[in-house]
Amino acid sequence: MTRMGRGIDRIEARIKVTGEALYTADVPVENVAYGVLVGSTVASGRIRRINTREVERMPGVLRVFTHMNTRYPGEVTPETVGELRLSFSDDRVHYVGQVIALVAADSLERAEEAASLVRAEYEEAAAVTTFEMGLPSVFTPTVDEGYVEAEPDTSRGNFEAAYADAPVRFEARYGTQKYHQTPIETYATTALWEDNRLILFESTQYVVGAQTGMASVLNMNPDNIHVVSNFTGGGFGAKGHLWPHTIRTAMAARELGRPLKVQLTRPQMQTGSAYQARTQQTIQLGATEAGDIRAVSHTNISQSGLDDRVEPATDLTRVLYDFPNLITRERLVRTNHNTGGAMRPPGDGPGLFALESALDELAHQLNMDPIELRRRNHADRDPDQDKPFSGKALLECYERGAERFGWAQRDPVPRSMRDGHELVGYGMASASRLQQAMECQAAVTLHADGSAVVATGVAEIGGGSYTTLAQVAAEDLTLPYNRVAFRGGDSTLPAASGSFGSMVSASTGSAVKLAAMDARAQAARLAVADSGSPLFGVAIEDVVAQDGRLVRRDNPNRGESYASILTRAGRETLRGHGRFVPNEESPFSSYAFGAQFAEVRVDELLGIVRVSRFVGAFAAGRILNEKTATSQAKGGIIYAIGTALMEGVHHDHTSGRLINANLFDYHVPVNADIPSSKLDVIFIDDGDTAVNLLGAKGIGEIVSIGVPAAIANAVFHATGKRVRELPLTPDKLL
Amino acid sequence: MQPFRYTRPIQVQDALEIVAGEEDAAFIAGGTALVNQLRSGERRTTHLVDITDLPLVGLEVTRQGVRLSALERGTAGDERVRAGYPVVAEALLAGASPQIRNMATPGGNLLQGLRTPFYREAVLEGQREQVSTGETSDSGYRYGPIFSTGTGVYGSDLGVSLAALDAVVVAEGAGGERRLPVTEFYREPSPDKPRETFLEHGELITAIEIPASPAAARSTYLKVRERASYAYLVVSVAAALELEGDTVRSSRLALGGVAAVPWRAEAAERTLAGQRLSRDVIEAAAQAAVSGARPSPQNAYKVELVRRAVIRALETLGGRA
Repeated sequence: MTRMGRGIDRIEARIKVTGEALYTADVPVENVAYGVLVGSTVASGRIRRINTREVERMPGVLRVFTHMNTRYPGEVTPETVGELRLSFSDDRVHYVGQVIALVAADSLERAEEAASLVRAEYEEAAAVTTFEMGLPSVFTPTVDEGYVEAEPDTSRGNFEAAYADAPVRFEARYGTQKYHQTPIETYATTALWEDNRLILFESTQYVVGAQTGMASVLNMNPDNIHVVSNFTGGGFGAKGHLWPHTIRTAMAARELGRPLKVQLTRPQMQTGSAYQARTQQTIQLGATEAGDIRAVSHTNISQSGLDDRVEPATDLTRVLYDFPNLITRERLVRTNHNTGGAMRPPGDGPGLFALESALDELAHQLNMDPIELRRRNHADRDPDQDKPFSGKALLECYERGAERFGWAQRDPVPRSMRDGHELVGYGMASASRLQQAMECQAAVTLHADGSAVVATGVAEIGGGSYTTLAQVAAEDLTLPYNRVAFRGGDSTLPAASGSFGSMVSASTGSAVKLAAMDARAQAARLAVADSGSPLFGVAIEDVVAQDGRLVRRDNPNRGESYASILTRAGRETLRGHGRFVPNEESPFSSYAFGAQFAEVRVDELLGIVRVSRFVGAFAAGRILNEKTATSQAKGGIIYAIGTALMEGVHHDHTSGRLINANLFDYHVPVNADIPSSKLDVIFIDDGDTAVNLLGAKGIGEIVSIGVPAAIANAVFHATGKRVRELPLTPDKLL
Repeated sequence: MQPFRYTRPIQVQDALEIVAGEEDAAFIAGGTALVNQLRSGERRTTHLVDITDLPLVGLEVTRQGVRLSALERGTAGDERVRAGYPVVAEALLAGASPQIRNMATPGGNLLQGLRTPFYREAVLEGQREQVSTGETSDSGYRYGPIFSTGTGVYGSDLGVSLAALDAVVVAEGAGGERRLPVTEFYREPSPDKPRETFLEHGELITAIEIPASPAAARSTYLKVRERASYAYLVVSVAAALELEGDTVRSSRLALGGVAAVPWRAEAAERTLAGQRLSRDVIEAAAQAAVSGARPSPQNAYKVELVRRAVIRALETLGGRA
């Protein structure tokens, strides 16, 4: 029996494509005022003066909020906010674009005009504006109460000895850029107060996080904070935390006695939230002639901003292969940037660009097929945790991906394949991603008319969660999918997991499954106790669901619909509740695995790279909805084609200012970059039933992991030129 | 956004008078560049004079050449232009996505402004003029020019193709009609003269004239960019050749992305004149095209990229029947 969930259209597809779907900034609020943020123009120093009085005299301006009139009543924690020093805390400036003023006016146009005339006088201080400037002061981070959570160094075996003994050695340095999530919806917040109760319309990936975070910093009871996020227009990690502009907007609305709406501009997005830090990674490999990798060291230097934070690029190196002697090290450089954070795919994205490039280089050095090298070093158990995997089908990913791609047609010699002006290359890389989980809840309510409603406060960020979660309940109840409605995006609903870390399907999905089981069990108990029911007197464990009815296991003709059970019991509704608690004591290690295959064409003269074909094969447990999963996988591959070929945040070295903070200059792929008819996704069932109740793993991140290495490896195969620093722009291939 | 007035006249004369009479008034057509500049604060205006309803639409193709009215949007698909002036059609297609092409106009295209991100940042402190000449910017900007100072590069694909074909900008103003060759239409801005063209305030582009030439029919536009569409040029080459057999009778080469103005590669044209279009001659012309370049360490790659792009463009034309 296939475990693949049906490819059902999204619940919200129609309202999204017709524009009816209300995103945060679309929600109409009576008497709303508009706020516009102003960022600092210097990278370091103190604010001497801001011309707030002058700006407050402008037409329509209600007030200008700065550090002079801000005091946060509560506290912040690294779990709830993305930067520990909240904007407006004091007169200090730590990076260009740091929010220094919030101008509120009675119209958006007036607020924008007034904000454009805010001028600050600064006492400027020296700033470290780039990674290179900070590099001489590289340091080893220590676990702190902020964002450094893990020890920076790990090891197993004896790397030094094994590397010294290795007959084949390889060492190289790789670089990834600073990236910004650039979701299509810029952050929006509308705050309104009803007495002492705050209603917050918020662009977020984590409704509960926004609620509890606000409660903490405003020193309020969470029950008095109602967060609504009907739809979120993409997040990729950017909207996983609470950001200062949201907090100040809520406080300002109270001070103004009027609802206030703030939406960041596109340029403000790059400093108004986190980003993926730039990395510089050094990998050493020691191997036998036969390709057994005996020694590995992986050192990552990531660029930190205001708060120390590691971009954990070395994590997967400990798990993905069976390296017996290993050292990993995380180092930091501090720069005058805002604090970095999670961006799809965190850590593993940059990390596997380096590791999977290095393995390709070693395979070339050994004159060995790159897949064969990976097979030889396959990890049957998690060598880091010394536990079995709950499910792993990486070898099948190689095999079926290679078959679909036509890997066998690859002439291993670089520059051996050509088509007119273009050199053709094939490259591959492995992918993997830890399965994370979070405690969460859901409710499934059966109605007397035979329909059901799933409720959990999950944020729909574009991946199709409302649909797949409704599907989980429909399948459990055996109801037709169109009889199950979904309510999400609201903090008054049962608390869902965050929509990040590839955990919605697994965590919130499990809670929904438990809630559906609970609703079904309650309905069964009503039926077996009711003399009017065909199930009267049947043992509860002998009642099963089938075709939207509860029936006897041994005689499916004996049974009745949920509707008739509820109606006869005089119940309008019956509410099942589910609470999912991750198993911290699991005997298994749970990861998704995959293999990425790229064909590139490189204009030999001009160095222009295009991806002409791509196959991603993923083993991620049970896929809940083939259609949304395939779309998500294609989207993730496209996203990472951008990482490989064009993406990067750039600062002016002198001033530290952002020079491509808009969608014209900050390149992400457009349709013309994507071989849409030759972008292929395969899902392979790893048979994992231990990972969670559904046997489902998240795919939101793994689909992007390994893609840049597969492309860079293909470019090497095409051209004979190894590019170790992304992106693969023409200047690097001339 | 600064408050501004909006007027939509139907007579050219009315439009000219309004703008001439108000220092910060500006013409607007498709708005694909200007609206962004106004939104970012890069430009400010007190009065937008929308020229959409002016009778400036039309494309005439005669033996003498092409006359393209300032608001004409149909050029890229016109068979006569595609056959007789392929470099222009190709530049227009490379210039923008269909959605933008359907809004933007040729006159506005030529006035889209220099490409430099430092403008946007500089408006924060009213430094636009200094920054546009490179005085306060980072010298290491990798998209900067190699034949001029500052950070701004000329980014109009259409403009580069017109420079190659010796097109003429027809402008109307208080002083009547003026005709400015595209190659003399732009100037490198300086602190005391920040304007990027020789157009006076209140003058309006009404048409563009492209003279017919044997070379125009054998022409091509090559744009190198860092994504396949919806991206400005890194460098570009507009090339046109008049061949007799395989001997070059005349040639036109213009480069984009290398200076604050569309750059006519005259040394390369001289190298080609009278020569057989061999691989050696093409190489020599490409080398001549980049002679005199003064790149920064960060944009030195542009020199090689331009050289190679010239080679590709000339090879394409040599092979084109």
